[in-house]
This record gives sequence, C-alpha cells and structure tokens, in this order.
Amino acid sequence: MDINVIKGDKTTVELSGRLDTAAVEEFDKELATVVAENNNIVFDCSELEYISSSGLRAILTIHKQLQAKGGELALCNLQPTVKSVFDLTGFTMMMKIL
Amino acid sequence: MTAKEIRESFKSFFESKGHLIVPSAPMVVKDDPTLMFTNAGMNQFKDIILGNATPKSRRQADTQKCLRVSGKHNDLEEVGHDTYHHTMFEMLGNWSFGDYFKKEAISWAWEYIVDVLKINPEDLYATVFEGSPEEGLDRDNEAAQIWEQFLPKDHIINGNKHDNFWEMGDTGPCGPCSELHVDSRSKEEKAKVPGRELVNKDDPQVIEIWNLVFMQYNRKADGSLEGLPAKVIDTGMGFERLVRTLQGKTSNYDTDIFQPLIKVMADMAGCKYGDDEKKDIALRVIVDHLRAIAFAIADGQLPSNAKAGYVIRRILRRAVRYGYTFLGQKEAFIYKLVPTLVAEMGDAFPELPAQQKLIMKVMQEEESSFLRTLENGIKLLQGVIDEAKEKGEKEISGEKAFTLFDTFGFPLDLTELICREQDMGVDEKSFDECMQQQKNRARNAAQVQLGDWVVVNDEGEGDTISEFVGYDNTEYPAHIVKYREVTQKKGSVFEVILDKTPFYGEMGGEVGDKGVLVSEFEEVNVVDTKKENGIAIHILKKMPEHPEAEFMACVDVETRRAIEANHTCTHLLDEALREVLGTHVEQKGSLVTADGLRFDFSHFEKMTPEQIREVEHIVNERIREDIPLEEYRDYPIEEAKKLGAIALFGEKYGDRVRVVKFGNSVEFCGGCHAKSTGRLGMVRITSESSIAAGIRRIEAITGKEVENMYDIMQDFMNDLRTLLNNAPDLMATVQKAIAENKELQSQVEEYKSQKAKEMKEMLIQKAVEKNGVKVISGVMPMEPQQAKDIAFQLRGQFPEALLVVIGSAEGNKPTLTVSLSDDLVKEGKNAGQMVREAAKLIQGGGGGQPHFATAGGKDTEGLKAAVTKIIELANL
Repeated sequence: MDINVIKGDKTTVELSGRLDTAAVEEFDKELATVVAENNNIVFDCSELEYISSSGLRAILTIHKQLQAKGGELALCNLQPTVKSVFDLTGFTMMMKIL
Repeated sequence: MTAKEIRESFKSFFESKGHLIVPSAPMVVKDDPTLMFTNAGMNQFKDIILGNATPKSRRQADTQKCLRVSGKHNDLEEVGHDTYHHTMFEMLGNWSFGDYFKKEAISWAWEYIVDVLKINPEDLYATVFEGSPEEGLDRDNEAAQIWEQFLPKDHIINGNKHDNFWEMGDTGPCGPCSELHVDSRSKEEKAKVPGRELVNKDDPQVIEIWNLVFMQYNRKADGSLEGLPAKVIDTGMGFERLVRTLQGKTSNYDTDIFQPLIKVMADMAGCKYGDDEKKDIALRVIVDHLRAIAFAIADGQLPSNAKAGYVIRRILRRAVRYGYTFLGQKEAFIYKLVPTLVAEMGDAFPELPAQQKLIMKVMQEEESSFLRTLENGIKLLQGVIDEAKEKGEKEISGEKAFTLFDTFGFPLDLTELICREQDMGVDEKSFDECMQQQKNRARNAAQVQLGDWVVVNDEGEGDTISEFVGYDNTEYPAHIVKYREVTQKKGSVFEVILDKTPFYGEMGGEVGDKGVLVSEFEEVNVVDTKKENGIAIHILKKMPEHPEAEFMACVDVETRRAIEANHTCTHLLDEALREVLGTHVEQKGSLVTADGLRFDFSHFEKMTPEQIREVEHIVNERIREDIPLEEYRDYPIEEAKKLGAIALFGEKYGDRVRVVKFGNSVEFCGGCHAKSTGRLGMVRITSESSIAAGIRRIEAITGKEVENMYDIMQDFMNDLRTLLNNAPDLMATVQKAIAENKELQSQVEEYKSQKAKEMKEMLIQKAVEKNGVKVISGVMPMEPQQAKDIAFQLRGQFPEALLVVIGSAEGNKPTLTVSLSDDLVKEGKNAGQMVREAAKLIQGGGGGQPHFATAGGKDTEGLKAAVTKIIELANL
C-alpha cells in the first residue's frame, strides 16, 4: 500500500491499495510519527481498496490515541466496499466520516 | 505405570547416572528472534552446544514442555484428526556436553527401556546412519556395534541422511543419530509382516520412541565438516507416545495423560468419547489445545494479535470452533477444564497451580470474545448466502469467504459448514487464491536478506566474543570481530559484533543502547543494539571505512541514564504495587525506554485513583531516600533466592544470576540501573489500563520527563489564569463562569422557543389555500432544528391537507424543510423527491421520507425560488 502525508490545518493522510496484514506493520511505523505530531488527522480513503481486521485494528488504535490527547480522527471518501466494512463493524458510529 | 510415575522414573534413572535434573525451560522463548516456542529439548542448551556458554553440569536431564504448530506432522489443522500428534508435548531428554558419548548413551537408553520400563526387547529396533559417500562419511559402525550387544543384527536397520543425520542449521554442530523404535502390534500382525519392514514407514503401531543424537562434527560455511572438539549427546523421547506404549494403548489420547480431561469435557458436552468420530476429534482437539494454551499463559504469553501471542490465539480459537461446531458449546467452556489439568500436571509443573486463576480468567475472556466474533460472522455470512441465493448461485464466492475470514475473523471451515447446511458451497479455489496472494504480499513485505558474516578480527572469537562491560562503563575500547549486511524493503543496515562492548542489547523489556563507534579515522553511529543467542548485535546504517581499526565504543550517556532510571523505577513500582494491591501482583511484561516505562502485572480489577496515588507516593518516598544500588553479579541462584529475589514465571535462569537490590526490592535482573534511587528524580504514573483479562498496565515517567510534564501543566495554569484576569481563586472563578454560562444558555433557549412560536404564528397567518390544501411557506432566519420543530408542530396542528415549506438560513447556510400531511402522501406526493429537485436552486442536495425531508445548500439567494419551486412541484 502507499501512504502519503499532506500537512496542513488538519493533516491529511492519503491511503491507497490494501490495508491488510502485509501492509499493517509499515502503516503502523509510518503513522507513529504522524500521530505523535498531530492531534487531528484525516484519512483520505478514495484509493483504499481493501481493509482487513489488522487494518481495522490499526485505525482503531490511532482513533484511541488521538482521542486520548483531545484530538480526532476523521475518514473521508470511503469506497463502497470499505464503507460497508466500516458500517458492519460499527466504526462509522465511533469515528467521524466526512 | 501411570504417566506421573513414568516421568519420575526417567528423572531418577538419569539422576542415578550422575545427571543434574534441570527444570523445563519456558515453552515460550524470549529474546530469540529466530524461535517463538521451544520445539525440542535441546533449545535451552543451544548456547552451550554453540560454545557461547559453559554448562553447570556436563551431564543433564529433564522433561521439556515443547510446542510445535508447523512442520511435517504438526500442521495445526491436522492435530486431533489422528491419535498421536500434538501441539504441546513433553520431551524427555538426557545430555552430555563433552562428557560421555555413544557407548553410555546407547547402553543407558537400553537399560532404561528394557530394565526399568520392562519393554520386551524383541519389540525393539534401532536405526543407525548408513553413511554418505558424497560427504565422505562412513556408516556409523560405532553405534551399530554397541547396539549389537543388545539387539540381533536384523533388529538394527540402516537409515539415510534424512532420518539419521541431525543438523542444527545450515552451519554448526551436527552428527549421526540412532533412533529406537518399538513395535506394539499384536502377535498375529507381527507374524504376517516383520517389524523391521515397518520402521519409519508411518505405521501408527511401529513408532520411534527415542532419538539419540551424536554431535561429533561442525558444519562450516563452505559445507565441509570438521571434528567437534567437545562432543555432545542430545537425546529426545516423546513422553506422550512412550506412555501410550507402556500403557498398551493405540492412541495417545487413551492414556491417563488425556483421559481425565476428555472425561470432564465429554461430561460437559453430554457425550461419550468413542461413540461418534466427529465428536471424538473435537474432544481430542480441545484437550490437546487446552494444554498448549494453559502452559503458554503460565509462561507469560497471553493471546494477542502478533507473533507468539497470535499463535496461542489461533490455537485457542481452533479449540473453540470445534467445541462450538461439534459439541454445541455456545459459551466459554475450555477454561473449565483448567482445574483438571492442574490436578494432573501441577506436581511436575508448579507454574500451573501458581497461576491457575490467571490462566482461567484469560482463557474465559478470550473464548467469550471469539464466540462474539463467531455470532457476528454468522449474521454476516447469512447475508452473503441470501444474496447468492437471490442471484440463483449455488456457492458463495471465495472472495466473500476470504473477506469474512480476513476482515471479520470468521473461519473458513465454519463458513463451509453453514453453507453446506443450506445446500450451498464455497468457491474454495478462489478463496485459496486470495489467501495465497495475501501470503505473497506478506512475504514480499517482510523479506529480509542476510549477508554472510565477514570476519574482521578473529582474535575475538570464542569465549571473549561480545563481552558486556556496560554495567560499569559507557565507553570502552573495542574491535569489530565480524559484521554482515541485512537488506530489507526499506534499505539495508549492518550488524556488527564487537569483542567487548558497553552497549546493552535489547532484552528483558529494556531497549538497546545507542551511541557511536569512534576510531582515529572516523565516527559511525550505532542506531540500536539487539541481542541474539546471548551476543550483542550493534546496528549501524553505515560501516566504518576502516573496520579493522581500534574503536572507542561510546554509549549515548544521557539516553542511557534515562533508561536506567526508568528500569529502576519498574522495580520500585513492582514492590509498591505488591504493598498496595497484594502479593498476587506478578510482573507480566515491561518496556523500558528513555522516554518512559510500561509495566504490566497481574491484578483482577481496575486500580482506584487512591491506589495509584499511594503507589506513586511510596515510590517517590523511596526515591527521596536515595537508596543505593546493591548488585550481586554472577551470584549462585540458591543464594539469590535466600535474599528473597523475585523470579518471573516464564523466565529461564542459569545457576549463576545477577541480583539487583534497592532496599527491600530484590529482583533477578540483567538490565541497567541507576546507581541510587535518587537519580530517578520523581515518578508520575501517566496511565493505568487493562491489556487483557487479569492483566493491568501502568505507564509512567521519571526525571526530566516529569519536569517537562510539570512545565506544561504550569504553563497551562498560567495561561488559564491570564485568561481569567489573574483571578486569585481559579476554581471559584471557573465555577462562577460555568454557572453564568448555564444561566445564559437557558435564557437563550427560552428566547429561541419564544421566537419559534412567533415565527410559527407568522407562517400560519401567511398561509394560503390551494385546492383545499393549506400551504404554509416562508423564508426566515432560523436554525435548521427550529425549522424542523415548527414543521412537525404544524403537522400535528393541521393533520390533513397540509404542505409546509420553510426556507431558513443560519449565517450563509441555507436549509429547506418540507413536510406533508399523511393524506397527501397517500395521494402519492413525496417530500423527499420535491426537496431533492428544489435543492438545486440553493446549490445543494438533500432527501428524506415522503412526509418529511430537508436539504442543505450553499446559496441563500436561491431560497425564495426554491420554496416557490417546491409549491409548484406539489402540483396542488
């Protein structure tokens, strides 16, 4: 998967490809600094094709970390397949979907 | 003989032959990146065999708990389907490190099997290495001649390199081995086919019981063999199959190792072992897996989502699946077997009874969580099945089954089972393809290429390699012994081994040191230090241009001091937690870095704020006492125990240990510590949380980090005070502001409600009638919620023949609100459709239900036109 960080008022992280077991280690590593440096992050998921349970877990961890420091994680441009996973797992109720 | 008697007889036999009986090493391997679980008896002696450590006795014996979940006969998915393979098993073994060799090893094996265990010699067969011309190795005649003293020649069978030559890895100690096989078939069967024809032919009744390895060679990197100066005997005898043979059973599960557990489980499920093959498999799976999970938890390995923890989670989930599917267990059940397991095995493995409560709690929680996953998965799968049926398909797609598995944790075999019950299939081929693609992606992501070791200075090889001098020094002269390049996806690094090093290699939760290597030519950074097989590996991004030079190895002192303070703090916290919460507190893990520390411990409820504060106060008091470090290096373990040192379950200790003592806190520890507790400055617990059932986690900071935290808090308070005009009593001022705000808010609400009432009246006054329908419309400044409330109030007030259209604006955000009485909806009018169409005029979009709909937009100028448009669209 590819991860592209765009800094701004709200730091946006563009995700593309598959966020699965194979990709999650790299995702965790790359996002660790982004999460440490920002309180509010938006994941632009327009190019995110697939998310597995490992990916969900990684996103949930970031959501909790940002929440703990008074920040917020938001997701935008979810593709229908990924959106349905977020709906079924209740993530859409927990996180802000733009 | 019972299983317990057999285990004891092995130990006492080898004790009588001058062996030191050592306890089993933990099943979960810590600090070895090449191995997650102990999979053979020799694992705990690896450093001795490789020459990196000295044995405490040259003759040793034990029973070792092992775990195998992959390999020829140990594929997890196969366990339980036959009657003799296991995940967790015990391996009885005896070792000679440069002491006795083949003669004694074979004679004692014979004596134990025939004289002690009374196995009929006529049923025994031995294999010997047949030789390998390409390696220049002859047949192992030495072993064969010794066997000939006990066995007729036709019971001694030649074996090939695959079966009878053991190697530790691509390089290192190796040698021929001899296996002892036993033929447990009936007289009639033996008469039909001689046992020698069935040795190593996968006959379940003609099985290998003991493997004697004679390590006499060292395999060099170029593949050639040289003689090993100190020869090693390494034997392994599978305990479960030995018990089966001695108790005359055809299945390991019929022995008294498993039967008590099977009986309890069968009673719980209301069935009888032996009545139904499917249920029998489930019972075998559950009792086998129970042992693996319980021993892993006792060794400190909790189920988790990574590495060893994930293996344990997979094993537990497999047992739950079998119980759920074949034995109707819909609630957590495996944990209920733990008391029986403890009764059966607690004598030999005291870690089980000591941690029974924790094991049960963790298992119950993990089981319940997976059962919830299963229930959710079943609902999702039903949706997938219904969809496929609607399309007239006979099977669900492999991709869907894969998503259920990969994203929702729902196992394929259950998917197949539920599909089968509804006359549906699963496209397994495409499922396998998805799985393969996933594995390929993971493999590519994790691919690591290890270069060959380049020896720079072989004077350092042997006993003095990588000697740690970092307890007393942070700078030390050193030479590079060898290095290699490690290439990963993200680039390459160099692993460097020094002859002596002050750098602490990551171990026991303490991170590795960073620093520099300085020579007369250059300076290179050490970005991390790891530990493998007891040797510190320094990680460099760039190799020095003159690796042969003498270096000064310099640890980053500031970082090291912070790490030391945090490590010492974990010891003080451990002691304080036991004082405040009770002696049931056991350390379950820790992470010590320069920035802070994490301390995991067993405790069954959330700590109260008062308890957290009390722990902090105790530790801070000990810090103020400035208790000096008392260190006992290379100290006999028995003496250390007398000092009251705390040992951790799941840790392996040698016969000589290091003990770290600060006042009453006494622990076995190999880490780096502050010279006195005063160096910690102060401790602050920053969080307390749960990481698993029965396990709490404390995060804390010390020294400078506490200072930084107080600076931030002080700045915040100052800013707040400035904001409140330097009010002398901040709390009272804030409370007053909150009260005032509340009062103002209620006034605003009252005003708004009054205003809404007025606006509603104005709208009613402006209402017109069109063909008998009351049309109430208008454009007014108000919040969307107010418009919605008014629309609903009007619907209540005029239940028939009503159209309400409100164009409202809050700032520059326009909203359209439309509602219709039910009779108009019945006529086919639809508020949602109308609002969607009219929303274009305010450059927006919206929708809703036939009787009520809203739309938002960007252009307030278009509101009037939009309201008119809706009235038009209503076509009254």
